[in-house]
Order: sequence, then C-alpha cells, then structure tokens
Amino acid sequence: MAATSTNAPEGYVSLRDVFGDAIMALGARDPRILMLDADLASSTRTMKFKKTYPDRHYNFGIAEQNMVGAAAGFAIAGYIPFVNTFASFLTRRACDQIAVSVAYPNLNVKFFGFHGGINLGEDGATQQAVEDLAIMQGIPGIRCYAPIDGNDLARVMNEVADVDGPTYVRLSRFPSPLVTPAVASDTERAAACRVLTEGKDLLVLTTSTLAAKVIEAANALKAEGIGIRLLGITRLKPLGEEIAAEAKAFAGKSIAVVEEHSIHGGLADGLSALLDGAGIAHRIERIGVPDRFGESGHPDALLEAFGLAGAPLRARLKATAKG
Amino acid sequence: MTDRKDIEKLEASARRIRAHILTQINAAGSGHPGGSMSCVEILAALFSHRAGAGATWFGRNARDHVILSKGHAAPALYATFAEVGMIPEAELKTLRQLGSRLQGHPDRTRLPEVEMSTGSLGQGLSVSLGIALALKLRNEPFYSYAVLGDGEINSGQIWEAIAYAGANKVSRLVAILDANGIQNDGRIEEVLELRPYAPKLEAFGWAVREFDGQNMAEVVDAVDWASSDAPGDKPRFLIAHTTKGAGVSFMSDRADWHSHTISDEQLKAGLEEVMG
Repeated sequence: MAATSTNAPEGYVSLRDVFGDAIMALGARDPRILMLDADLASSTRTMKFKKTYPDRHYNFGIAEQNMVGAAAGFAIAGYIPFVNTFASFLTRRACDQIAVSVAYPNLNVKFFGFHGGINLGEDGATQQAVEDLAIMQGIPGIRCYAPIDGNDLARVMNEVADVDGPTYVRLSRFPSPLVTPAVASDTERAAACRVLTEGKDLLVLTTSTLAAKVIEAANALKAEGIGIRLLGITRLKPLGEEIAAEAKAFAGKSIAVVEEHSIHGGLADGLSALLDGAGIAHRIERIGVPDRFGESGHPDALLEAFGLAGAPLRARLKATAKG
Repeated sequence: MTDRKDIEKLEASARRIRAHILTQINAAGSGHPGGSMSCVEILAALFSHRAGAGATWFGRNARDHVILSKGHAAPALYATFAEVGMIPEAELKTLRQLGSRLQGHPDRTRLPEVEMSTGSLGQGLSVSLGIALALKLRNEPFYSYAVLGDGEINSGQIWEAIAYAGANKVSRLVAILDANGIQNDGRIEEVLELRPYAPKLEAFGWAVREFDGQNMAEVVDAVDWASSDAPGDKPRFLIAHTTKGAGVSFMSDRADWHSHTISDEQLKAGLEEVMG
C-alpha cells in the first residue's frame, strides 16, 4: 500500500501518494506511458518516475497550455501521456487546449487534476478547484473520475491506463481514510458506484474523498434512527446506469447529493440529467459549494464551514430525510 | 538545389491547388480565401516535395508529420490532399456542407488524413512539439512541421512552445510562418506588431531563415535546409514572406479577403488568373 503523507493520521492516505506508486507500476508495464508536468512535479509525485525513467518525464514549466498541446502530439505519435498539475490550473488555464487539441480529436491523453475541491486548505481559492468537474464534464467525450479513497484511485489508475480516449481524474490533497477494500489485482477496475452505508430512510450520493465525511455523518445519524443508503460515485461521466434504479427505489423522497464542488455542473447535475433521461421524477437536495469560490483555512474547518462535513452536514441530511 | 524541372512541376501543382481553393470556397458559399492562397507554396513543398505524400503515404507509421495550425486555411490543405491523391478531387465541393469530411476547420476524426484538428488558433505548434519530442524519443529520422499564421502568433501558447523547443533543442521541430502581413481585423501593425520576428526567435534558441514564400524554389530550398542537419541541434523557424490572397489580383494583399465568399464571376476571373 502507498505511503501516507508525513502528517497523516494512521490509516489515512493522500491520493497523490497512491498516484506516485501507481505510475511506477503502470510505467513498468507499458513503455508508452509518459509523465508531463508543469513545474509541480514535487506536488504530483512524479519525481520517482522521473528518476527511474528520465527519458519519459517532461517538465514544461509553468505553461499548461503548451503541456496539453504537447500531450496531444505525443498521443498522435502513439504514446500515452499523463498530464499532471493542479486541477485549478489544468482545467481553467488550459480549458480550450483540452477541448480542441485533445477531446475534439479524441486523443488518448490522461489528465490528472491534483488538489481538486477545497481540501487543499490554507493556500486558498486560486489553488482550489470548485468547478473542475463542471469544465471537464462539459467538454464532449472525456470520461471523468473522482476516486473516493486511495484504494479506489488504484482501481481508477488501472482503468484509465486501459481505456483508449481522454480521461480526467480528480485527486484530493488532504489525506483521507481508506473506506473501500484494497485493490485486488493490477487489472481491477473501479466500480462506477459503490454502496458505502446501508439504510432505508434517505438516498445520498457523494464523490471524491469527501465520502469519508459523509460516512461519518451517516453513521452518526444511524444512531439517531435515520438510515442512509450512501452511494460513493467514482465515475461521474458516464454516470452508471444502475444509479437510476437506486433512485427509483426511493421514489417520492428527496435524494441528497454531497459534493466538494460547485452545485453547478457536478454530480448533482449529472444525476439530474440521468434521471430526467430515464423519466424518473426526482428532487435533489444539492449539498455542495454554492455560487462562490473557496477560501483559506484548515481543510477540516473549511469543509465544515462550507456545510460539507460535521454538524452542518448532519443537520442538512437530517432535514432532508424528514422532508 | 532542386532541379528546375521539379520546381516547375511544383509550380504547376500550386496553380491547381489555387484553382481548387477558389472552386471549394465558391461552392461552400463561405471560407477564408486570403490565408488559404498565401500558404499554397508552403503546403505543396511540404506534402509533394518533402514528404512525398501520395494515396498511401498517411497510413505509414514512419513518416513526416504536418499540422496546419492556421486551421482556417483548410481549403488549401484539402486542395493539397486532392492534388497529391490523398482524397478524391470530387470530394472538394463538399467543403463546409452538413455531413462532409471537409469541415470548415480540419477535423481528424472525420478525415483521418488530417494530422491534427485545428481552428482555435495558437495550438498547433505545441502539438507539433509533442510529435517532435516523440520522434526524438524513438530516434526517427523524420520531422514535425507546423504551419502558422502571423496573426496566430499573437497567442501566448505559441511563445510557450517556442520557449520550450528552444531551451530543449527540439531539432525535429520545424515551424513555418505564413507571414502574409494581414490578420482578421487588419494589418499586423494595426492589430499587434510582433516584427521583427527573427531576433526574437533567435533569442529563444531557434535557427531562422527568411525567404519569399511565394517563390517555389526559395520555399523548397528553405524546407530542405530545415529538414537537414545544417541548423544543428536547434529547432527550425522558417519565415515565409507571403501575400494574402496570392495569385488573384483582386484578393491580393487585402484584409477584406481574409474571410469572404467567392461569386461565380469572381471564380471565373480568379481561375483565369491562377491557371493563366
């Protein structure tokens, strides 16, 4: 298993450490895999890869647009470039290049957005990304993932390396507990949707490492007699069809979506589109980042201040369950 | 030096490519004649002379790579493809029509012979850079060419690619600037003057050559130089001084012919001029 971040509590894992290990395994397996960085290689954990495969690591400097374009060129030439930088810089700065140079020509480029959401914490809004999934899901043809823990990311890494076409994986910076089983093999893929807690009173969907906070809330509410069926959504696009059946089983009740992302263009919108398409009447309680940017603060304090963890989240879920 | 006879053959090709451009845009009812006409010699020299492109050329794994970064000159690219036998000539009249493989700007998913989909300006050089790095990684004796517009190089991404290629001595990369002096809103000096180009590029570590981009012998000579060991370990930048709308007097050097329809009368007059 991956090493945890130095200051992480026992059993907690930062996704980037899992990423750093996964690329070593994938890189050994497939010589076509290249690492591309934009002066954040120490943050994206590609330094070990660079040391082992110096010819297969490229640092483009703080020039994300050029990095994405060069990735397209590598893909045309038959390589599989992994494009690594913060989710904010990747999706906001290089949006047009991702769309026109990669997605439109349907090239096999793997995007990794580090420090997605607000759990980057103290560095504040410019380095945080509350709209990365909205941008990437809005661009046609990109498969989008937001792994819910380190084990889940290991499965996602197997999957994206195996899929031909553009993919986006959102990673979180702040270490989070492992809530899914260890990866079974180097070919095991991610489940599109995973039941994290059982319950009959309220259906809740969540994604990314925020899942751990939602599990905490669900467990606390269980003690109060409120049963939550919590689905962890790893693959946001395309969203698993089985989610429609889950929603159908809770017909007539609100569904809560908890996401560390804008309430616009994230999981809640994806769910709404899926249910509309399936002809399932629904009401979604959108528990996410309202129309605003993030800010500085300790990750735990921030998530609670934004109503995505702790007592504010419990209260919101409780109110939704009671209708 | 290329044989005079070969140059004459390429010049005849260029005339047919110009005629194809005019007929395509006339049939489509819209398009970008000015910047298509100015890069004809460049495309003919790259595809016919340098790459030796023909019907089966694109399917090869080992070959040169050409990206038309100034995607609005798509009619010139399609006309060149037809001229060298990569696509049927009859298909040219489908330009910009619903369902056509010949999109308004090149689309590699519909027309696989297109190396790269382009149209959002400033992006092609980075893609050519990626290909050039791949050629270097595999130690292949080919080159990666990007055809740029002089308006296009307003874009910051172009200069990101220029900086990277120069610093890393990406010698398999060849940029060719179709310097026709006019962009969408007017003359370069009225919009964003970036000349002189050569000292800027040389400062970034590129080997630079300037020439008359409408003179086939000079274009061929420059492409040969860029595709040789002569420039050493530097990336290569060819500044082709061209004329917007070259070949047709009423289009020549005029900003309003950047994007323009071609009437039946204009087509007739234009064809007479280019086919002479």
